[in-house]
Amino acid sequence: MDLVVDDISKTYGQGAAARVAVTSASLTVGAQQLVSIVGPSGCGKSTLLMIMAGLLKPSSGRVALGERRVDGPPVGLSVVFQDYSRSLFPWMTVRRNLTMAAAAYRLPKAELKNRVEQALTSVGLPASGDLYPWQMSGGMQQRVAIARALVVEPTVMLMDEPFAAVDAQTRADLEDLVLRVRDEYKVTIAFVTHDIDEAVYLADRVVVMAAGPGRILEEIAIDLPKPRDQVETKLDPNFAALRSEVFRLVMRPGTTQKIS
Amino acid sequence: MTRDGKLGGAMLALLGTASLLTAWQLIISFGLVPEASIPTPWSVAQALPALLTDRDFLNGALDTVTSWAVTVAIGSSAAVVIGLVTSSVPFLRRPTAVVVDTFRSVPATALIPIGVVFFGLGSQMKISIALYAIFWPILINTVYGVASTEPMRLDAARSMRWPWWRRQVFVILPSAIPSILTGIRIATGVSLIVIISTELLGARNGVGTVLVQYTQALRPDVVYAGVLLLGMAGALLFGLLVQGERRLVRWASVG
Repeated sequence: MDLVVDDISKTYGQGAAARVAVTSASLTVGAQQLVSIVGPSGCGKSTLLMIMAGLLKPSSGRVALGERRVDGPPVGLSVVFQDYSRSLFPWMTVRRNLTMAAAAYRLPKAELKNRVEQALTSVGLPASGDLYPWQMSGGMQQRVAIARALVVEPTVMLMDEPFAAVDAQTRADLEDLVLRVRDEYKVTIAFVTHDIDEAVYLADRVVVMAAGPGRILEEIAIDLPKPRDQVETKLDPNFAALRSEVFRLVMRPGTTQKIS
Repeated sequence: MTRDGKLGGAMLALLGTASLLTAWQLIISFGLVPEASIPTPWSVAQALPALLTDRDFLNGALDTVTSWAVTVAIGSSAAVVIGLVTSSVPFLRRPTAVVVDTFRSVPATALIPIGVVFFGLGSQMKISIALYAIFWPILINTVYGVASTEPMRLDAARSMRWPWWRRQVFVILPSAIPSILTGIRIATGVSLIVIISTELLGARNGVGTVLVQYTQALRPDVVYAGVLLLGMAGALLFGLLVQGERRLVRWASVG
């Protein structure tokens, strides 16, 4: 199912205090594509993602998942938040965190149990169900957050700077994990990040945003070979070229000709 | 804690108690305070068995403990429920704050005369006054706890399509629990103080009433033994509560 963002604007406040977070943003995330949304801080990329998730009402424009208009959190859409320590439920074990994620889906017990164990296995934590999130490292907690998003077998997964808080090695592992579960669960992903390498490495398409006011500047197709590899892909001259292109757009939007 | 640490702690506690008892005895030996107002530690110790077999004292203790348990049970559940409801209804928040600020400033013990007029000298009066005393701190802590709920957790719950009641029960309530438990811990101590005050000031039954009778019978040794027992009961209670709290919210201390 395609996730279509059509001419979304979001303004906070009213009158003189009004602040435009996003203005007329349109993009389409095709089925089973991975689209990175990258931009400097304050460009409204997280706001846009929250609108796509149905967690925030746009001031104008519409979001549609398949045929259905998104006006609240839709069925089959999961969100992985920026900060695992503030989004997981510390009063529940890992297994219960995952089980509760599907509470609104009324799955048969056995089916739910299978999905939970499968999700834990997919993120490489098959034996950690009985731990509490706070007994785990940051990287493991973010794996739990991803597993929690997978339990409902989503068609779309939205990720909001999910790896901003982990170290570089863990980050590389988690990036590959995202690519793996994308193939395993056949899920469409929109991935917000401020890391340009990460955006290019993961994506089929990179959407570059600019600040003041937040808007979409450019979309760049990433035609690097798959599967991606942390060493091989990054040695690819195309990777360097794409990376520089995105970098220029993010860092110096004024010098390009493509602003409308 | 290590074994040595525990042992050291016990030694320190023993040392502290011993020096307190010595100081107590010395004050009397040097005649700093007349013996009629402070009995010796030894005579207080001797009065303990008599007090513990005194039917009046035991009945009084039972009455006090019952009133106290009823107060904490009713007060906690009422304040927590009202706190959760007023917090979840935006237009109730402001009025609640005004009411709370007004009423919690009135000291509960100042209401004892009014309580006597309304309810007489029985348990009803004790419980009502104590309820008044503990309702506000628990309510305030509940409201504060609810307000401290992490917004990202609520977003996560919403993105999972949890209905209102499930967010209340599985996100907001657990988030508020550390704060609620602190409120209940404070309330437990306060309610005991208030109940014993009502007994000292006229209630018909309870530990306080028995202690007043012994005072009038010029038996300070028994009165001190009673106070000592109350102190020990209070310390035990506090210890149990802290233990229970730690067990219940292990996740909160780790962050």
